Amino acid sequence: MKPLNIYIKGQCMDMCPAAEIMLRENKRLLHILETLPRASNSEKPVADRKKVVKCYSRSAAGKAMENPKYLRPTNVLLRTINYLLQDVLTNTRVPWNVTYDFITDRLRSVRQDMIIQNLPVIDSIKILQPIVNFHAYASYRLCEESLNHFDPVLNKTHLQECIKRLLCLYDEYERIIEKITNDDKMVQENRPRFEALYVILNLSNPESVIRALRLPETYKNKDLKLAIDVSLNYIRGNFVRVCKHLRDLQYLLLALSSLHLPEIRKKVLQTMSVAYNSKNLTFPLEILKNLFLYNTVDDVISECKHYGLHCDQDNVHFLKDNFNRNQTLARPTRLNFLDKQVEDRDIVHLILNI
Amino acid sequence: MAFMNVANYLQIIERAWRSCNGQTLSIFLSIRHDHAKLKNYHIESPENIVEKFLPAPIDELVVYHLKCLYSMGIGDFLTAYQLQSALVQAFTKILQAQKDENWSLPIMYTISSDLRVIAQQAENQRVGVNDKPGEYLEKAAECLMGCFRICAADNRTDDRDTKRKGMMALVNQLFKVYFRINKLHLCKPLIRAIESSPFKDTFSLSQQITYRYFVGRKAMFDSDYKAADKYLSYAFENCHKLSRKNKRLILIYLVPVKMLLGYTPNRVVLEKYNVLEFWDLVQAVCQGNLKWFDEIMEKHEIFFIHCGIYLIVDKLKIVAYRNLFKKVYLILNTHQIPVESLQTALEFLGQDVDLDETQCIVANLINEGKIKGYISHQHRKVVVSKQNPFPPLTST
Repeated sequence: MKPLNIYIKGQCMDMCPAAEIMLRENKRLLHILETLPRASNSEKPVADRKKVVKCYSRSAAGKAMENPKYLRPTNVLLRTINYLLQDVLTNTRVPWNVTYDFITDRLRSVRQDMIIQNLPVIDSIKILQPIVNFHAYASYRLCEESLNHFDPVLNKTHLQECIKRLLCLYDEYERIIEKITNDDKMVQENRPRFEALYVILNLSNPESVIRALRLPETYKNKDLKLAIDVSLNYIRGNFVRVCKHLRDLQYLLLALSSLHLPEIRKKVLQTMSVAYNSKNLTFPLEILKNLFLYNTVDDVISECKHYGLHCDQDNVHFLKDNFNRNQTLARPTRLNFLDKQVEDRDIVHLILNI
Repeated sequence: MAFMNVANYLQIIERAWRSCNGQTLSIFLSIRHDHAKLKNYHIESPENIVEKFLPAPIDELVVYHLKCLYSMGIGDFLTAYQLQSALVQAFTKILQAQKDENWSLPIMYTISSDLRVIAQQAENQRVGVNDKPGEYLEKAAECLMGCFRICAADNRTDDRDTKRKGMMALVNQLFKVYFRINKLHLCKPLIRAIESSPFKDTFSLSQQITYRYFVGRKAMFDSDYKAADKYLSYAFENCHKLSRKNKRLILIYLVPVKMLLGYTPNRVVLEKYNVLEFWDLVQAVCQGNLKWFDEIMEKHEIFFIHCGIYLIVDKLKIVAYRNLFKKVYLILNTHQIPVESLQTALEFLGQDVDLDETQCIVANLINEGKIKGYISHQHRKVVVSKQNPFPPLTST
């Protein structure tokens, strides 16, 4: 039996092992983003060797997962990530959801290579940070996409898995005594934001905020403090304050937190239909729109109606018996004011953190 | 005791094994008993001497035990953990082979509790970059689950000799592990197993107390405060009065639960059990003094977080809001309270809130039934019920 603590070192210096390129070319399994432009659709797709990326494949009995020739070392993995999140992310050849599927699959194989080789903590941190950013961004960017094109649940699973692993790595890093100065600076700078991201992602889960509260003071910068405050107010049910503070979060965190709005709004409308319960009195829609970050008054009206509340032109009538608790949550929508802040080209910088 | 040599020790074990004396065996297999501290019991390779005195399968247990003592003696808890874990697994096999008898349960209690303690030590000694935090404790839990399954499945034996009597002790050990590694969701099937057991009320009092302490904490975590109150109160009332440390532990959770349900703890009790941290909190909440409340939260933040009660204590702020608003209502002596007045009161106590937020706080209180009435946005008034506008918290 071989010792448990010896791991394979990858030897594949390209984004994709040569054998896989050949195989996928022959079997016509290349993704369109990996091929050279063709004259007509009838021609057989030819691999663009600079663009083929190793795809994800499940481990299964009898499959050689541990062949060093098919595994990429850290620097190649980082290069692959940069290629995917810089060049592929901004391509205009295919719609964004197709790009998303492609990148997600290839990042998954990056993670797989990382795990099989059990790369050093700091390398794994460098690999996971941009991956977390990407899935966080995608969850917002594609939140209005039809469910046939984008599966928010699956994306969230990837995101949770990556962020949890990343946080464990940070903990592990904290325990390591010898630290390399440059890397240490990087961790000190980045960690608070990812800790904040974890809190925001799991806003309704008390465990996540407890973790954040327990962190050493050095990590509690503005972002993290804000995330903790948002989470505590969420638990207290002070949604006015939650929404007020959301606006101050930085782009990715705000984008991610906006996915909780349907839940927040349902709770708000439910509470208000008890607290403002009256046959004669009403509540102005404009105020709801501003407080709870709706894009337009029409959006407020349609959400109120969704839960069975009546609206006239400017006001909503809160009646506790009208509110339908069993109604499913509305789907999240993108925020106009947020989309105005950031243009597509900034996204690469946000995700790669450069 | 100090002069007993190993041969003597092995003879005692041999006799106890032959006469099925679980109690004695458990003592002599414990890492906490006096013999464990003696250097001549720290034996690196005890196989030869053990085989001279002991038959199979008890010899295996003793070999692991002595080796484990050796590893602990040289401070190597990682190896000690492996050995104790092997001991428990070997015992599991013995337990399974013993049909229709349960005299060896005391051994199980001792070695499983020892396993947990050693796993905890091993956690602190982890060096490898590769093992995850909580891994040793998690593996220890798996090991204990092996015993648990055998006990739980022993349902053909008659009530006197059934191994099911050992379930609660194991559940308690597992609770301790799960609470430490923060995997509370794993407690649920264990609770179900105990609650559906016909022996539910026949387990020993000390086990019942530990069990309810953890179930109460779990209920508290799930925001089921009535159940938490029930379990924790049982634990507190039945815990022996000399177990001050344990009573204090229970109180740390019971006090915030009781307060949330509208009861006010007595200062004498808090003082007696050295949890005066709560006394200021009690006063601040009763007075509705939010400024003081915030100060206390900040001052005792580490204590509250460490005990895992930060969030529930934070929830008391809602009770404080209610008490403050009740004061405003009594001062103004009107059923139509201007939202501005409430906001003024909040601001006076250092709360940075605007009218919208004030309304939001009131709306939550109305929704939870802590205030009877409704809000009129047009008039910016909270209209409270003429009868009992602030019902006692104990009734909601």
